[in-house]
Amino acid sequence: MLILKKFLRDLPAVLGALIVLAAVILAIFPELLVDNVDRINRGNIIMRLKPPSADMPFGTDDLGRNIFERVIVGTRSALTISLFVVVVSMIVGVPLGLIAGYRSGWASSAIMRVTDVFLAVPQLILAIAIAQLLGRGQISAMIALAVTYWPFFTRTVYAETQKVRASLFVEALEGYGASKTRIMLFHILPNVAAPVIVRATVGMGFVILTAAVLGFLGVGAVPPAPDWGLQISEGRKYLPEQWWYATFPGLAILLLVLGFNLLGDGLRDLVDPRLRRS
Amino acid sequence: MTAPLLETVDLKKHYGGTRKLLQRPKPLVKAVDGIDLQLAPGEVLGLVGESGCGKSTLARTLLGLERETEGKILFEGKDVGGRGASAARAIRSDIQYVHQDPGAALDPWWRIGDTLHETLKIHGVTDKAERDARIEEMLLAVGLNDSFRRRYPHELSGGQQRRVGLARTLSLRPRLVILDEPTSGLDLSVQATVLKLMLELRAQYDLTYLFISHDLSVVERLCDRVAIMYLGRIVEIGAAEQVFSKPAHPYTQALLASAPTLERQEAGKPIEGDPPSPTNRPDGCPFHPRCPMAEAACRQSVPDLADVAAAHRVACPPALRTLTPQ
Amino acid sequence: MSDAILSVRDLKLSVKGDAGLAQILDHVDFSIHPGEVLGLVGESGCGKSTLIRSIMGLPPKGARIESGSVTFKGQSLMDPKIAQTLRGREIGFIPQDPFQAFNPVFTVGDQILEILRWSGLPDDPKGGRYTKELRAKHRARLIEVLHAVQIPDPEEALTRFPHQFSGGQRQRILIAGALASRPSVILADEPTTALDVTTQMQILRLLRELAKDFNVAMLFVTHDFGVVAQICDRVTVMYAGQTVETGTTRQIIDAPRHPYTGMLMACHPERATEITGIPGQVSSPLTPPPGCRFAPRCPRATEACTTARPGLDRRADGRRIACIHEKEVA
Repeated sequence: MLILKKFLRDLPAVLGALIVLAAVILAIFPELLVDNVDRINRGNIIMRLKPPSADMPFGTDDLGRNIFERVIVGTRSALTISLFVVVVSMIVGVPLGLIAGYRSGWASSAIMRVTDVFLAVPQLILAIAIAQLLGRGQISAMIALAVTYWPFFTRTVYAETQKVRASLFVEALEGYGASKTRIMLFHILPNVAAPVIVRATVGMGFVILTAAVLGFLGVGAVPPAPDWGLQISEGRKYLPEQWWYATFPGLAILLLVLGFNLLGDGLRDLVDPRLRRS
Repeated sequence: MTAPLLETVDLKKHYGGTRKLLQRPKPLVKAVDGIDLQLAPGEVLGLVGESGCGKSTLARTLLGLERETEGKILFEGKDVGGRGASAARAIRSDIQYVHQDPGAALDPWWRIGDTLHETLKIHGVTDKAERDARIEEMLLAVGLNDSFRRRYPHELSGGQQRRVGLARTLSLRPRLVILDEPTSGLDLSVQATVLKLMLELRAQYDLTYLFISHDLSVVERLCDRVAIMYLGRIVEIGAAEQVFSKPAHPYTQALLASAPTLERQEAGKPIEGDPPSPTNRPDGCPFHPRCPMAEAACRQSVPDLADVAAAHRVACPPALRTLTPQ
Repeated sequence: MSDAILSVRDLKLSVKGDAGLAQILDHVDFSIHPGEVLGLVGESGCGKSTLIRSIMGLPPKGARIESGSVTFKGQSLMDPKIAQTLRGREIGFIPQDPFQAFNPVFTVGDQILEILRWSGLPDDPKGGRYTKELRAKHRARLIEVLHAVQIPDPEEALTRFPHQFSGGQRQRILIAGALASRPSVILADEPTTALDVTTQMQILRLLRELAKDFNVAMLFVTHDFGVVAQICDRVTVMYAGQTVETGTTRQIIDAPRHPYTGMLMACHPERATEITGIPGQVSSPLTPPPGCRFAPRCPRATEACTTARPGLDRRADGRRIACIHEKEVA
């Protein structure tokens, strides 16, 4: 419980946690703030491009849809994409990093060379290319992001594993004749878990951002999905007069990414105060 | 002498010296270079040497963590050498190891009890009741009560960590235990209790110890026989009393003269120079550049161990000549 | 006997940490005279490191000096400004681990000259700029001292990197760095623990000669009585933050009088008739026992030991002992 107390003293991290928590709740229960979730894609030309008002706090878009409701409902797809991408990347990247870091030999070298190749190409550009190949849609955006994101986990886990591998308790276990699988799963994995969790948290924010970029560039979600990136892309045409159209989805991205980053930094401090960043 | 429990014949462990694809060639390091050693059941053999002399490599090779480059390892007369790490550990489960720093040898995320259980599980003790019984017995034997099972490594003092290390190793019912610097870093008062415990456990469980240390006063007290290592070779071996009272090899003499005793040592020049690194060993007798007795022949060939007295062998022809007049 | 050059008087220091107020030092008291090597002996947790840091004027974070004083030639080292000017110049320091004391990417010459630049030599012009001439002067002085610590070819040695030296040579260079500014006191924190036996003896003999040649006083921290016997003139023994006994090296080693010193000596492999230890554990500085801190483990302890801290009284044979049961004996 000491850890919880320490965490609660870190104000930015608590703020981040609250933002993330709010986003998760809204993603699961958008009904809390949206009257009729099924209706958000239905336009109303008469109400077209109305500025923010008490009734519609974020205004309406070019089809007269309530931007506030669309931003709220968009939370779900943003979180779904990032969760999927991060989880898949972890499932692929963590075991590869463990193997590469703990074993030595050609398999280990091969894994790290492939990882290095992926990391050498800017992730966004690679993701755009893959998404294009797979055809437009949210699913292909998710796959493209996952395919390009796992090397980050492999790198982190690899570096951490190398550190833990050199420690005496691993050597002792080898001395007692423990199998490599046992050492990797029961001893190295828990010891590298903390930095992986930090990486994953910050990664959630990062993926939300990249997913929005894909949506913005038109290789992600397809209209009329209430995707934030897509909304900004559509609203861009109406800048600067109808500023609210592009601004509020943008703010939503900003807020959620900020939330994940603050939370991730807080977790990092909790895991290792020496890594504290200014 | 009864049949040795463990015997090595011309054991060698070399590293590097080969060139792999796309890698820089590594220099050849002869960490262990021709060791003949016999351990009688029940004895305590001290292995003394300065850093870089290869004593840790020898221990790792005996355990099977490193595969020997050349030579034989016999356990109770059975050849147990020439195997990769996991096969060697399986066949040599009678040989176990206590780490230099048993605190660091414990996974910080695991409770002591879980670590002890795991060690037994690795060795195929599947029955939980049996494991519990053994752990309880061992914790008791090393003087810790059962509540230590629920503690984490960082909650233990240095002495307690060493006791856990002993319990962990002894729960596997080994015959031969390799103790790697078991008292380094311990305070004098704690060191004494740990040494006492190790002697008691040896009597209680019929153990044979290979005791690696650089602390000569501890070795003198604890060991039946002593082997002095220098750059991968044993330069002198014999009964502890013999070696400590009549050291034959110039290196042993220098080592003994350098050990700080409770009397101030004014007489005798300390040995000059630094211990050379195993990457660039001199030809001939590895000690000759620092040796006051060195002669031309010492630069030519590596001397072998020869009897200087009963159960006392030394690898130094000039010393032999002066000590054993024809 | 000449006047003390460094004296610690009745020092009581506590450190506030997460777990509460730790009373690390409790009335530590000793002094060092010019040209003398004083051994500071104690087991882990006795407060040696905190004491050394306090003498350097760098007490640990959260430390509070409750009473007592640390003075160097009459100046208080508890004043951070005074300590800052004396540290490195008048008070030299030899660290424990020569393998970690150097930054691997700079030459040893650059590193030690950098230290001399900030500490300065006693005959440097006051408040002057760091000129080429000054650096050349420092360099000449360093080479002189490197000769004294028997580094072959000092000129060339200065241009080499730390990893090109063995542990023993690195320790020699650090000793030279500490001596270069002609300090009157050197604090040596277990300077030979990280070294091999043969190297250790070389360094011990070197330090013994240097202390005489340079007429410096040395506080030599160690836990090894064998090392004490080689180098120290006098010894002060600490237990759980308290000074328990001070005397000449031979007095402490051959005829310890405080029960703790006696039991500790009995643990030494050379002296032990049978292998025993000291039963019990060092008390936590968070909850120190009242009175004598060794009382809970002491076979001679009585009711009186647990009520008042025994005074560190001077005895007829010149030593000082903090034990009420040692009063009667001459």
